[in-house]
Amino acid sequence: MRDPVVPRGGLEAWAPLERGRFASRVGVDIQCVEEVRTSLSIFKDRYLTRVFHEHEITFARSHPYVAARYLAGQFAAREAMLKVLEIEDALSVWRNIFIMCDQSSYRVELFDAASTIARGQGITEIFLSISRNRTSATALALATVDYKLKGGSQ
Amino acid sequence: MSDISESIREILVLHANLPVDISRLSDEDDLYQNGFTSHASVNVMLAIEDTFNVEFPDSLLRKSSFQSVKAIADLLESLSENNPTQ
Repeated sequence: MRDPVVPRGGLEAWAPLERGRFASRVGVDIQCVEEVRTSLSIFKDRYLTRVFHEHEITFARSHPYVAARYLAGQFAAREAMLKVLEIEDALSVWRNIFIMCDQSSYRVELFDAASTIARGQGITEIFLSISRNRTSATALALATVDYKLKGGSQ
Repeated sequence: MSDISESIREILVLHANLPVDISRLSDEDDLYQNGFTSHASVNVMLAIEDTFNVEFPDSLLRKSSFQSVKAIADLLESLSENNPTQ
């Protein structure tokens, strides 16, 4: 039998953590690639600039053969992020979310309103995974919430 | 049914990708509860901008703005009031 996982510094390292102080939130979304391809075909640059970050637009333009598949993943990631941030209404926050691909992992950068909302909710870390195939893209976002940073309200 | 409502319904047929026939829905029926998605709302927003020659400010880019035919019509009315020359 394997030894149980113990934090660096021993079990006492967990002692200062208040029970119920931390929580995890998860958001998931799926996006059809063909729908994105259709939007690109009809609305072109207006579709891109209303939803995506300029770096994502640059990537899509320089990789036209995989643009729809790539953008479907970025869109699904945005929707997963809105769920994690518990934003139910404000679609304009899409453009405040930038998802970077670093080797095989993803990193999320939040700007302006999205950043303010995340800070206000005590979100300290966000993990993201995106999977794409020919027909659809799926994204899963996981956030760590520190209720102490949220101002003590749970 | 007003002309604006009819135009909105035509846009929804073309761009909303709804799994139900729009003629079966009333102006007040919730589009999201009938299969409307966030991605489709982008298409509908852009098509409405093209059709009515308006631009949605970021403050109006909300899911609730596209909740129903009536919500979209109300939104268009408020945009017209703010841009009386259009």
